[in-house]
Amino acid sequence: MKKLFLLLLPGALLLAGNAEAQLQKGTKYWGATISTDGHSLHSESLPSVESKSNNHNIAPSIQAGWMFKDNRMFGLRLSSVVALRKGISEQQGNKNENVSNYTSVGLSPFIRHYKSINEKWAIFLQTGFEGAYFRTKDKYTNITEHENGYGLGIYVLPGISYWVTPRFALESDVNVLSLALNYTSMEDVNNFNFSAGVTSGIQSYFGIRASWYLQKSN
Amino acid sequence: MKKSILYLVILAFGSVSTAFGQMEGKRFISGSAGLNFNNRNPVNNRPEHGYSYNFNIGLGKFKTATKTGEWTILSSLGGGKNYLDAQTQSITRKGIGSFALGGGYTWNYYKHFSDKFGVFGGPGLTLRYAYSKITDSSGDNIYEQKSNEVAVSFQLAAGAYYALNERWWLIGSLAFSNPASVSYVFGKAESLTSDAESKNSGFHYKFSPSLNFPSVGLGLRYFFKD
Repeated sequence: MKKLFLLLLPGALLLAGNAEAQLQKGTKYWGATISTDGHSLHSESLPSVESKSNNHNIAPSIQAGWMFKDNRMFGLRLSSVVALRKGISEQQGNKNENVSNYTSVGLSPFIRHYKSINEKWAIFLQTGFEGAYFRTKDKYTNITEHENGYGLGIYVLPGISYWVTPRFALESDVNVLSLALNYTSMEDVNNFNFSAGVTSGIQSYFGIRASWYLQKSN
Repeated sequence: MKKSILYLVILAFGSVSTAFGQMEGKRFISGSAGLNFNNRNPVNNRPEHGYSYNFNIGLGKFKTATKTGEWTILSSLGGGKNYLDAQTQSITRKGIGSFALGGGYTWNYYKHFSDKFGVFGGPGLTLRYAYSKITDSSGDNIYEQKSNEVAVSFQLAAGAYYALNERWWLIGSLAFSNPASVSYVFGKAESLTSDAESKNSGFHYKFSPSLNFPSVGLGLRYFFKD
């Protein structure tokens, strides 16, 4: 499959690319996806230790765009990750509570180049810049600590769109190249961190996003 | 969603469509199985061995030329003999360490490229029960954890087939996804070195619209005589 997918890309690029209706100048675009997971665990040890752990993660993302010319889109993506963790343990009347919450909000302007394959399928290459703000809160019994951070990054991601109806499409993309700068500030330490990633193969994980293409009524 | 996967696969092969009849009403049995044995004989240590199997069997029917419904059962089991060296003593672990049983229903939509070759994809629902027993140590405490899991999951899968002859198809899986699942886990950990014991239970959930490529697996399908 990996190979087929790779073979498909150059093949598709060779096809004549006239703009399909959904990709004509002026079309507006909306996209959204969400993923969530979590658990709630309970454990009881004899003689008298009881512990509970709750863990919830949710990651929504929405994006909007505008075709500023045929097959070329300018867009803005707003994504967020919220992770909530809480652990309580109780031993002979002593209660310990740990809370650790993480929130991040990222805003990313991007440019997308489309190449239609036929009226149902198109591939795209999305290049973007992302700024993110994140905040963590850790609480151990009665000490609370906050941490703030900022991140900057650029990324390139190829993807594929499939139009289920003329207005509604499903799309999937994969992060193959990214560069990121992160700055975190804590009460008395400031952190600076740089990371770069190039993925050599097609990753085995493709997230799927629902998207809408709304054309100007002529 | 199911269509999207199907088409993603079709795309890879080029969008050719060929009329393909005579499939409607055909019943079949599909299966895939895995067996694994291993044996280790270190020079200065005791020999260890392990074994496991898994199989999936499905009974299905072509409702139309391009659509099937299939009941599936799955089973797996693993075990062996090995040793755990904790701080002060050595524990022999042997016997069956895990097994799982499940069943479900899958809908598949087909695109036949020729009378030999095609692709398919679709959603399915699975109910699964799994049991595991693990002996492990933390510090000088050796404990045995028994776990039970009951899970319901919704999955999407895509694959391709090659018809070897009129009765036999070779089935390959291409992509797999588990976009939604919920499970309930409960179990007990008993210390083997003291009389400490703990019970645990938990609820897990997941929703993740994503696909996994590649998912490699081979199976066979046999068509019953009409």
